[in-house]
Amino acid sequence: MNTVDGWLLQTYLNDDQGMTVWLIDAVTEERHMFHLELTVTFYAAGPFPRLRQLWRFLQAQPTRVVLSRQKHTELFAGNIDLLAIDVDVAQQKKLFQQILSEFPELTYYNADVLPALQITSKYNVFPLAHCRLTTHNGTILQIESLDNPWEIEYELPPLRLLYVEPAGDPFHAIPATITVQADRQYTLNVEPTDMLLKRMRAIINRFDPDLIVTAHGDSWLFPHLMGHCQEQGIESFNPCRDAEKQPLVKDPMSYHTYGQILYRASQTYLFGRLHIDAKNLTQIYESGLTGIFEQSRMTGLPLQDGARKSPGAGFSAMQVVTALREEVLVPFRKAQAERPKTARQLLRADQGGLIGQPKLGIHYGAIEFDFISMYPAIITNFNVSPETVFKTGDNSSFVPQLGYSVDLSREGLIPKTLRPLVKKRIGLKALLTQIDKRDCRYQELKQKNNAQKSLQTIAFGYMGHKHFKYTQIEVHESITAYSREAMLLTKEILEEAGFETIHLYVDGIYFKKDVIPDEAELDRLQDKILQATGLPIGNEGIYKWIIFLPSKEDPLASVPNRYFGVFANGELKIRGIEARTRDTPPFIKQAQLAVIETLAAVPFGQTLPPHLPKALAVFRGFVDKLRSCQMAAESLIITQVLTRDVADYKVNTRVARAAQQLEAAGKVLSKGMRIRYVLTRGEPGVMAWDAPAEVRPEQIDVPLYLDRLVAAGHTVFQMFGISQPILRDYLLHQTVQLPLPYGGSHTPKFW
Amino acid sequence: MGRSQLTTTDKINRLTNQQLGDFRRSLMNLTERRAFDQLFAVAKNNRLAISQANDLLPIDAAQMIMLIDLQRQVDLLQQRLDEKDK
Repeated sequence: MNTVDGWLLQTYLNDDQGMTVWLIDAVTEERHMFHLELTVTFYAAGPFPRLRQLWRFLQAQPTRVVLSRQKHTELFAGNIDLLAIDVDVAQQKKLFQQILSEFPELTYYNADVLPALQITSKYNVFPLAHCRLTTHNGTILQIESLDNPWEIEYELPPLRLLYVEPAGDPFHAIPATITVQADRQYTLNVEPTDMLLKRMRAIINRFDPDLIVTAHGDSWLFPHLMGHCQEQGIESFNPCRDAEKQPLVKDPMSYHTYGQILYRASQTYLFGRLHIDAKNLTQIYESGLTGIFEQSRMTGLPLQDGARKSPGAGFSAMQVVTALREEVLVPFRKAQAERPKTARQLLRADQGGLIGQPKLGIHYGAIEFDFISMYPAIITNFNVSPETVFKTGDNSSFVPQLGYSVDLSREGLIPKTLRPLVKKRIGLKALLTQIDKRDCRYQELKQKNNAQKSLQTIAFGYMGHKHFKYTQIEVHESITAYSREAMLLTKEILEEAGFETIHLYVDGIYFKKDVIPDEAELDRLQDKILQATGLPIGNEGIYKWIIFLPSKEDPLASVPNRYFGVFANGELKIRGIEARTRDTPPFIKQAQLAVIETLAAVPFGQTLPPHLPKALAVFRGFVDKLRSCQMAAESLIITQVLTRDVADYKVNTRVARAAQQLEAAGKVLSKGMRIRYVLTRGEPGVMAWDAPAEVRPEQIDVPLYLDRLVAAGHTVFQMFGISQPILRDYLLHQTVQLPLPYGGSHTPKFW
Repeated sequence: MGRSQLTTTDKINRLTNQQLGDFRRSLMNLTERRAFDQLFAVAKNNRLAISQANDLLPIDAAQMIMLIDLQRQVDLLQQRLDEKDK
């Protein structure tokens, strides 16, 4: 018997039996491949005669199974009778598919649990976990965890990273070269492909990376190389470390999520080493690998899956692991339906968080308080979980506004899943406020914070999601009811303390008074709010100034999510304006940001109007640059999502015209893809950026871009009483004098 | 966000554009139409309160907000008169 300490790199199913486990040796840094025998259990429930038939059916199958009658806890129904089926992990999926087609009416549990999660729940290990393996002849006898996913700072394995990046977006044009960064940097010609293949094989074999990070590896590089081998009938390109396996390629797909249509390129999964395509990640992980590692450590999802899946899949995995550890059955299909409600009950319950209308205009010295992880804190502090809502125990409470009872006598499955995550995030946030921003750990901790935030946020949204195993809409309703009550209580406390509330938004509240309060007063307020609501609230900071903007359609109506401001420490907060929206060309974003940054430099305590001429001069610089075509054509690209197939567009919109050009150039398009185009003079008015023809400066429709640029400027200057036509005249013709309200404190005319 | 309810913004827009659209057009002079728009601007800027009046019809909650705002303005004017009288 041997004992090896190391980090768990990857686990995956074998074709016939058990699993393969890859470990990075902590002493020698060797990469070991081990075999793991793992038996998993899944269950069937239903009428006894049918279960007996299933028993006989399974005994007749060639797959070796162990059958028994057992009782286990179903989250809603309590203890139920089950037929338990023990089978080798590698055979489970195939066997379950057979059973499902023969006995579709039975209810199944633990039948679709990912093998990696079985390992996480059984051995308490997870991707990149530090652990100790006891082995014999290459087979694992025991796994001991030496790690804890809830540590804020931890040691990662000495991963060998290989970066591969083409010189340009392959969707735009096949790049001439690719850059490979391993032990040193290589620049490889893409043509001839045979030579590229040879060199890639040589680099991978010699450097033996653990993780290949590519740009467009999923959508172009690996399919291109593997496709070439197939076409030429030569030895296939296999970047896997496990020579017995071939890469797993998943087809591209378009899918709907939260009202958006998204496109996911094809995916190439490797065995024995990992592949992550930096251009095909879930958006929240685009900032770096740390967030991906953090997410996988917490959820147990394999790294290659976690990087490409939504945070919802991560949270779902966490809840499955908790259920397995608590010996609660994981249903194959969700079974809970919504409870009947009267129309009045529905009106009361069917609401989201509290969203107010801000007081329009410029506010100096406003303060923002945000509840820390509000929805997860509600779930854990008030024990909101599918099996506790509508239950009464020895100790019960009632949901405000709705009156649903909540059983407090036992901790619910969801609070149990979230509690360590909430605790970790509070610790991490505290650490982030303690350390200097120049500290080398700061960026890493920020990435971890983002990964945790997305998991926590989704925890609430998933309560009403069709893919959530234990979904129950009343849980969703309860959480938002608690949040509304907390926000109203906070508003009342602030008003009692002499503050004016200027905006409320789900978990954040903005307020001010004539005199800027000191830290001690704000601390007392936070304590008071915590006492009253039971939820921790954080002080986001004091704003030098913040400007709340009206609706684009109705200048008299305020809207909750269109504002920009700067904190006393110089940090900007921008929501819902051109600088943040995805379809704004980079040049216009840059112009608007430059103006806001100019205003942000105004010292704390000073009003903005005296500084407007400087901001206008900065903006005029951008206008002049655009009029004289001194900007790069690339900075004028507009990016829009293709919301339907090109043929299905009834109106020939700009994005449809750009997509038609791409199709004519032989590009394959799918719904959810981002289409890039530039506005051009004459017909058809747009040029697809990724079409072969290059955009020449004289083709650019400068007047149209000027309209958008002036509109972006107006967004910033409107609350100073400058209308869009006047701003346009001033910037383009200088025939008007701006009505600048110089000096003193400025109050917009709306109030 | 609710699953089956219109947003408060939509409810108010429906009032002004559909249910009371012709009513507004039939008002005989511009000042009346302006007053109508101002009253509904008050409603639009108080959507939060309207959204919490679950047991009222949107028009009733909107009128309640308009009354409150008018009372606020009366109080303000009264205060100015009192200060003048001092």
